[in-house]
Amino acid sequence: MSRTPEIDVGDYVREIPGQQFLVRTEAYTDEDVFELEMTHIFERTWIYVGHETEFASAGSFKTAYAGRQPIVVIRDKEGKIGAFFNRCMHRGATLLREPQGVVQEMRCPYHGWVFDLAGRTRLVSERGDPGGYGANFIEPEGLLRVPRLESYRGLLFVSLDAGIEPLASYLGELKAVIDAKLDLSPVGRIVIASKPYVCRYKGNWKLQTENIVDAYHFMHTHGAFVKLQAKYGDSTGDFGVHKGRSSREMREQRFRGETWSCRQGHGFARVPAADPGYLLDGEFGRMYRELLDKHGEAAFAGITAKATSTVFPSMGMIHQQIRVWRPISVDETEVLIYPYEIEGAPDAFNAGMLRSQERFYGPSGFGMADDTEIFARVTQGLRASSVEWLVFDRGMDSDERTASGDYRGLPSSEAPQRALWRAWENMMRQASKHA
Amino acid sequence: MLQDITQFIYREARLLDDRRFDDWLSLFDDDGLYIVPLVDEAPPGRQAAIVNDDRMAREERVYHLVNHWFPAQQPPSRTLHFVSNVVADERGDLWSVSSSQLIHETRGGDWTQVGLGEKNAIVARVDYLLRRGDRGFRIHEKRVHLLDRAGWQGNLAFIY
Repeated sequence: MSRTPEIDVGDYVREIPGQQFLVRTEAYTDEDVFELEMTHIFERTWIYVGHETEFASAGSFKTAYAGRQPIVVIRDKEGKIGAFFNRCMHRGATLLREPQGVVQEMRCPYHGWVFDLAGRTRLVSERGDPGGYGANFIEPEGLLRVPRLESYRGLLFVSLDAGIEPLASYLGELKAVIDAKLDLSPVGRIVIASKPYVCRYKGNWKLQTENIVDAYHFMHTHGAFVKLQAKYGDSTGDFGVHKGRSSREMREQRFRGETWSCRQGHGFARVPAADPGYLLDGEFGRMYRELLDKHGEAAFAGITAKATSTVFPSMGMIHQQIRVWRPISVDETEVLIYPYEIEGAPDAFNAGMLRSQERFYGPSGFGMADDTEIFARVTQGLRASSVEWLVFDRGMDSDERTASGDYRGLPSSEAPQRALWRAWENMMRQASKHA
Repeated sequence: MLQDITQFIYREARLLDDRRFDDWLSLFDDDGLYIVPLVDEAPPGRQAAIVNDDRMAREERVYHLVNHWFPAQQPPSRTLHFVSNVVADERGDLWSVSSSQLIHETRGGDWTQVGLGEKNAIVARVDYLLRRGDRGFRIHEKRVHLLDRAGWQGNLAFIY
């Protein structure tokens, strides 16, 4: 959209501790800032690429992006999952283009080179033809492996930074949120069976990062949905997620709980279950009672809490879904929404959760389209570049610094949004040092 | 019979274009389904759909569109359906009807605003299961196969 002649990211985020937190307009609109983000954030963080259950058999693959670099994640014949740059070692064509599928091998359509499921070069076609490859030909051993691939409880992340800290340590305080979500399963596992919703919006990727953990917008952007819930309640698939109550009760419920700004850039908001007794005595009471017995009261409160979270920079867990967003340009972003199933839960539970996803998310749902519409309006508004700053002060005075170096805020604090910007500023400062 | 069926589908499209949503609701059987699948072949109960509306969900959708202010429909969409290639086969007590539909959608307002004044084309094969009763046809199922269902979607927060 615009370019600033010299980037001084040191002045893009302005924080006066306990008082003020401002972000410069160009952080969302400047193409040079975007270029720096692609290399210095998306190639130096852990990027979510899929869940183990999406790789059911040998040859199961998914394509993904780390920033703008295309990647293929694939299960080999020994059952091991590997991540490679999705590019033929010969002359560069992408090997696999579908979002996911199953193959016997990776064959380049351009000149017929073949790589096996473990990425090794298996065939250099017409090798001995006249003018082919001679005795001194240095054959590439195989596809270039993405430096790091790690799993946390089945969630697969890659990083282009060979020296990055281990995934489990990178996730930090957010592990508690992931654990609680997965421990809703009697066997501690989730399954991705549904293909994702795919949306795009006209706006910067950080609008999605901010919004997925934004408790503040719900009663406004989604105010009409709150009214709809009050009228239709569970009957159309509410399923206790966005619990259908009056606007006043919804508001009160949202004033419980906490927000977190994690030092790695992750953020989350967590609200305790409105009525745990309702869960224990309800349709799925047996499942909940067994969870209570297994985990104890404190952990049970975490498991039944409603948490919305983001793993810096581009993955989130909210409701019963995994969400991934991919920057396409400074003002265009693609969002993938994967509903997941709770392994071991009754079929009716997972079916009900899926209905509730259909009700709110997807291009015809009652929520997602409102968010992306607002993102487009923000993008439009930010063209008023005469206004220098966006304001992220909310809850600054009540956030508390924890011993771990994170911040814990009150329920409607903008602490989770500040998490993004603190990490962003830190990484972008490094970028300008290297520039 | 084909003419009756075609007229019925034209009228259904016209009700949507005219935003006569309550009349549109009354075209459906009580156990009718309005569905927009995301993928063609899916394990039952395990795949999210774009729209998966039984009677109550259809009523909710119409109530929301007619009575509420919400960002995705402010201002509201206008549509114009073009229906063609209608093929009808009798199947038991139902008529199985296939059609090609080109649905132009736009939202009015200030055309300099992002998303407004743009003409979007939805291309779909729309299949119906129609039940013939005393009061004419009723929709037992309306299934919209978006041509670009494998790709990304924009704002589809209206009835199409």
